Amino acid sequence: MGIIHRIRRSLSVRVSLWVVLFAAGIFVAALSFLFYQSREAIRQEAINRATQILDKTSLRVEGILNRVEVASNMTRWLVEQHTDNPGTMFVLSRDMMLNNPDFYNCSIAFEPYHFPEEGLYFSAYTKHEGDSIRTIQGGSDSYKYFYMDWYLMATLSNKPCWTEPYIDYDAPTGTYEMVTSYCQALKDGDGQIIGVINTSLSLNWLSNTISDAKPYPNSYSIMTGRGGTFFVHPDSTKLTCQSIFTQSLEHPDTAAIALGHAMQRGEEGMKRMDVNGKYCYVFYKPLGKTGCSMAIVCPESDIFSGFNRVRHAVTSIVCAGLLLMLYIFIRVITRELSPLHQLAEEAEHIASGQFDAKLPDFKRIDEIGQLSNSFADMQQSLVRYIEELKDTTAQKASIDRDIRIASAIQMGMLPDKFPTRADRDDVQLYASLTPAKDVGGDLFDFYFRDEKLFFCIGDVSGKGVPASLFMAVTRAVFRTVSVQESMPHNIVMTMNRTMAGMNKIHMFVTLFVGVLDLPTGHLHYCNAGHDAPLLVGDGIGQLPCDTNIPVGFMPSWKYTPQEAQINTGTTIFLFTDGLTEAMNREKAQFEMSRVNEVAARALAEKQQEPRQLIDRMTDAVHQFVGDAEQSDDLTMMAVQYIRPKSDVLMRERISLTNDVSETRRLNAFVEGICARLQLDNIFTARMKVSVEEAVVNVMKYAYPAGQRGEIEIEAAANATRLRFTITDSGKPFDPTIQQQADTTRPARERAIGGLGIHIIRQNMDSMNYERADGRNILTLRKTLPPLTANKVKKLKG
Amino acid sequence: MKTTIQELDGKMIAMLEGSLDTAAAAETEEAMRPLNDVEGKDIIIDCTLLEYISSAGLRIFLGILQNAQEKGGHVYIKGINEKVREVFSITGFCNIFEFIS
Amino acid sequence: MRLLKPWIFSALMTVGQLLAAQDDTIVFTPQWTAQAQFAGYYVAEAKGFYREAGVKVRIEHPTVTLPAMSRMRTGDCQATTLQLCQAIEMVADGTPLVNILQTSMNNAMVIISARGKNPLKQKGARVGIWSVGFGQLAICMSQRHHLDYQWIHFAQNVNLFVSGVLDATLAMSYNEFYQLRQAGMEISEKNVYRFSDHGYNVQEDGVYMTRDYYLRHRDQALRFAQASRKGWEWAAAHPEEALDIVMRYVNRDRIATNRVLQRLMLKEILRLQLDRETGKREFRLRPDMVKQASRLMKENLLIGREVKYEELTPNLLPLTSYL
Repeated sequence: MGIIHRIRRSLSVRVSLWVVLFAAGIFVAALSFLFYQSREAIRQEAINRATQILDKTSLRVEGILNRVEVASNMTRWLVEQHTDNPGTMFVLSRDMMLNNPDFYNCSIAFEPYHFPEEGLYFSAYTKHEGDSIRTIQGGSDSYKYFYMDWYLMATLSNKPCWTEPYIDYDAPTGTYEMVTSYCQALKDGDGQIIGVINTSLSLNWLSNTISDAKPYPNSYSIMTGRGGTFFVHPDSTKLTCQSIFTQSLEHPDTAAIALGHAMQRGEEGMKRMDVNGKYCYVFYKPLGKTGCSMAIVCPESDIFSGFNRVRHAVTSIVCAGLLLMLYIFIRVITRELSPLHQLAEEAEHIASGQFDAKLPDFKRIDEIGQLSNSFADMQQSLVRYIEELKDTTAQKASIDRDIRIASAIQMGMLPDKFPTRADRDDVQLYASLTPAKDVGGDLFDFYFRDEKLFFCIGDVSGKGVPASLFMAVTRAVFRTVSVQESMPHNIVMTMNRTMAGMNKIHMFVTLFVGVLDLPTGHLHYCNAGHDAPLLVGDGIGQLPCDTNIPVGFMPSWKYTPQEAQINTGTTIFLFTDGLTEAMNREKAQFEMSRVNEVAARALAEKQQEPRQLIDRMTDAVHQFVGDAEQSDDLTMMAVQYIRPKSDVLMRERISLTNDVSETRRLNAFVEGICARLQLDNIFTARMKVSVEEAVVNVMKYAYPAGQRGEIEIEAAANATRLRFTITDSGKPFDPTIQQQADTTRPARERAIGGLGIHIIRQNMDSMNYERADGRNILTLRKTLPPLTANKVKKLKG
Repeated sequence: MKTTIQELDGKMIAMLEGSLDTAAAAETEEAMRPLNDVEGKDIIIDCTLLEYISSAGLRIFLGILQNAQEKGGHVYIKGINEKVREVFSITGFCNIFEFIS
Repeated sequence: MRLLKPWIFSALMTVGQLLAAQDDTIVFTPQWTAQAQFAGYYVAEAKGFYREAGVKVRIEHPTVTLPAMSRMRTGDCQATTLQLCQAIEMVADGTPLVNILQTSMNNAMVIISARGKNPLKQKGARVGIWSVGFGQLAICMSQRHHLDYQWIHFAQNVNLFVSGVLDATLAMSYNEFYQLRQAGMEISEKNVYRFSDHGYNVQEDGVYMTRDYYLRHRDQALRFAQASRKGWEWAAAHPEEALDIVMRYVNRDRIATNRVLQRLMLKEILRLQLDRETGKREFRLRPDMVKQASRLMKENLLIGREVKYEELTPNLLPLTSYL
C-alpha cells in the first residue's frame, strides 16, 4: 500500500518506472531470443557429447562380444568334431579360457545321459581361479544346468544368443559376479541338439566403463537388461533388484515406462523427462546383441549449468542496470521537477490564507517557468477575488440584517391586538402567522368599521422576500380598498385590478375576504382561490366557496359575491395551505382530515373559541411535524360571532320625500324621539345633526336630480342603544365608503365633501350600510347614557 | 332662520339667528353673499343666537373664510353656543376660524 | 508297587518326551527363497512368537536347485511349506505327511501367454513350468483340454519368458505375475488364464511335516503351527511392519527383489488366505479341495491313487497310539 501510494504521489517515480519498464521489456525480449538460441546450441552439444560416449561404449562392447562369439564358434566346431569323447570337452573348455584370459568361464554342457557312462549330468566347466585355471564337471543334483536359462535359451531358440546378465555365485570362492553368457547349441551330425556351449563374460569391466561415462558432473549412466532390470545404476541397491518399471507398479510413470519400452526394443534416442523431481535428458542406445541397453541421464541443470551461470550473471547485470537507471531517472526527474514541489508548497501557503507569499522566481522558460508565471497570475487573481468575496460577504450580512428588519416590519404590519371579551361582546377573534423563512408571504388582516368586521386571509405565491413584498402590498391595498368599499367581491375586484396593474412579476395571492355584519351576523364574503374556511359551530362544515381565481394577474376577472348567515357561537376558521400541507419527516401532509378532527374535538369539548381553536390546531401541527423543517408559511385566523341581544323598547318611523326642506320635519322627529328618551340637549343635537347629515346625503346621491323618491327613517331603542335606520329605494349608494372625487364640482365645494359623514361618524357609535331588496339601508347606532337607559326601561314599564 | 348683515367700525358683522340646517342653507348662503364682495375688511359672524348647524352651514362658513383670506381679511366667529361649538370641534373647523367673545 | 509302576512309566515317558521335544529344533524350510510369501513365519520368528510358544524353530531356505520337498525327504528339515498338489503327490508316492497349518485358501496359479494371445488357443505351445514341481493343475488342465503344451522346466526366474523363447509361462499371481509386469510386460485379461476362475480353485500353501516326525513331536508341531498362525494374523494386521521384517530376510539372502514387489506379493498372499465363501482367514484344509485335486491328479495319471483328506490331517490314527 505504502509503495503504491508513493508511486501515485510522485510524478518522478512514475515517469521513471514507465521508462525503466519499457527498457526492461526490450531487454527481456532481446535476452529471451539470445538465451533461446544459446540453449538450443548447448542442447545440441549435449546430444553430440552423449551420442559420442554411447557410440564409443557400444563399439567397445561389440568388439569384445565379437571375440567371445568367434571363440565360442571355434570351440563349438571343435566340440562337434569330438562328440563321442567326454575327456576332450575338458580340454576344449580349458583351452578356451587359456586363450582368452579375460573371459569369465566356459562350460560345454550336454543333454542328460548324452554320455551314458557319465550319467545324468555332464558339463565341462572351466573358470579362472586367481592366476590358475580350474576345470571341473559342472552338473550335479544341486546344479541342474539343463534348467538354467543359458542352456534353455540356446536349445529353445536354436541359435546363438546372449543371456540376460545374472549374478553368478562361485561357491568355492564365495564370490558374486555379474556375468552374461553367450550360448549356442551343439548338434550332432543329424542336427539333433546334444548340448550347449556357454561362454561367459564378466560385466564388471562393462559396468565400470559405463559408470565412468560421465559427460557432466551430476550425470550418470544406467544399463538395463531385456526385462528392464538395472545392471548398472548409481544406486547399488537397485542393481538386479529393480527394473525401470518397478516404481510404475505402484505409481505409473508414463515417461519411465516409455523409456523402458524403448530401451527394451533396442531403440536409440533421447528423451527429456522428470527423474526424481529433476528434469533430465536421457540418451540411450542398445549394447550390441546382448539385449541390454545403455542410457546416460544428464540433469538439465548440469547441461545448462554454464549457460545458467551466464544467464544469471547477465540477468543480474541487467536488473542492477535497470535499478540504477531507475534511481538516476528518479533523481534527475526529481531535480527537474523540484520547482514544482516548491510551487506546491507555496500553493499550500496560499491555501492556508497567506496571499502575500512570495513565489520563487525560477528564471526558466520551459513549461515549469510558464506554470510558475501562471501561478503568480493566479495568486494575484486570488487576492482580488478574496477582496471581492469579502465585500460580497459584508453585503450579504447587510442583506440578512435588512431581511430581519423587514421581517419585523412585516410582522408589525399585521394586527397584533385582538379584541377581548371585555372589548367586544359580539365577536371574538384570534390569528397567528408563522413564516417558514424570515419573511413570509402569508397575510391576514381585520378591522372594524361601522359595526362591521372586515377580515381577510391570503397566501402569496412563493416565499421569501418577493412574497413578503407582495404580501405587504396586498395588505396595504386591502386596507385602502376596503375603506372605500364594503362588499367583499368589490374589494377583491378592486384589489385585483390594482394589483394586476402593478404586477410585473406574475405573482398572485389567494385571498379570502369577509365582511361580517355584527348586529345581524350576516356574512358577505368573496373567495379568490383560497382554501374554504371551516365553520365550527353547529357541527363542522366548510363555507361554500365559488371558484374564483387568485388575485393579481387577470384584471378583468369578475369575482362572485357570496353570503351566509353566521349563527351565534359559530367560529369561522380560516387558514392557509401551510396548515393542510404541513409536512413531517416522512413527507406526509397534515391534510384537511386532521384539521377537521382537531376542530371536531375542540367543538366536542366546547373549546371552539378562536384562541383555543388556534392553539389546539398549532399544537396538533407541531406534534405531527415533529422536528421536520417548516416548509411553508402557516397562518390561521378564527372569528367567533356572538349575536347581541336586542330588546326593542321603542320604535317609531317617519317617511320623507327627497327634498331638503323635509329636514325640518326630520329634525322635529329626532327631537321628539330624544325628548321621549329624556336625552339632554347636547345628545339631542348630536343625534339631530347626524341623522340630518345622513338623510341629506341620501337625498343628494340616491336619486338623480329631479326624481322624486321616498326616504323612510325608523328610530328604535332598547335598554342600551338607540338606532336610526334610513331606508330608500334609490340607486345603490354606500355613504360609509369614501366618495370618489367628483370633478364636476367647484374646488371649494369639493374640499369640504364628506364632512357630513365625518360628523356622523364622530357622533354615532356606528354607521352601517347594507343593500337589501333593492333598497339602501343605512343604520346609525348610538349607545344610550346609563341614566337614560334606566329611563327607557321605566318608559317601557 | 334669520340673517342680518351690518357694517360697524369697518367690520362686517353677520348676525345669524335660528337653526342653520340643510334646508336653511341655501337661503342663508344667499343672505351671506354680500360678505363675499367685501374687500379687505374683517368679518365677524355673530352666532350668539344660532341654535344649530349642519355640515351645509359649515360649508357656507368655509366659503366666507376662503374668500376673505384671498382678499386679506379675517373672519371671526362670535358667541357660539355649546352645541354649535361641538360641531365645529368635531369637524376641526375650530382650528381654522378665530373665535371672539 | 504294581499299581504305581505303569503310572510312573508313563509319567517318565511323558516328561522325557516333553523334554526331548523342547530340546529339538524344528528346521522349517519354505518352498522358495526368502519373500513375502512366507511373511507370517518371518514375523513369528522376528516377533518371538515361536519363543513365546516354547518351540525352537530355525528357518532355512532351499537353494534354487534343491527344493524343499527334497530337503524334507532327506531329513534336512522337519517342516516345509508345500502346495496341496505337491503334498498329495508326495503322500501318493508313499511319504505320509501331516498338514499342521493351512494358510492358502485359494489358487494363485495363472498362465500368461506372450504377445497378448489367449493361452487356451495355443495348442502345442512352449510353456514354462517350475522345475521344482509346481504346476500339477496346469498339467491336468492342458491334458483335459488337449492343449499338448510343451512344458519347459525352468529353474530361474522369468527371464526365459522375457527373452521371448517361450510362448507362455506358468506364474504365481503373487510373484511371477508381478515380476513380468516389472519387466515391462503389459498383461491384460486376454493373455491371462487364472486357474481359480476356471474350476481349479485348489488351495496351495500349507505347512507339512512327515507323519512320522509329527507323531513324535505332536505338541511342538501344534505350538509351531499356532505361533505361525499368530505370525500370519499379525502380518495381516500390520502389513508395513511385516514388510520391514520380510525385507530383512530378503536382504540377508541377497534376493534380487525389491520392496515394491514384496509389498504387492504380501498383499496378494494375504488376499489368497481369505476363503472365498466366508471371506475369512480360516487356516484350514478344505476336504472338498483335497478331493478335487486328488481326483484331478489321479485322472491325469500324475498319481497312482487318490489321497484322502484324512490322510493329510493329524487325527488319522487314534490318539492313544501316539503315546
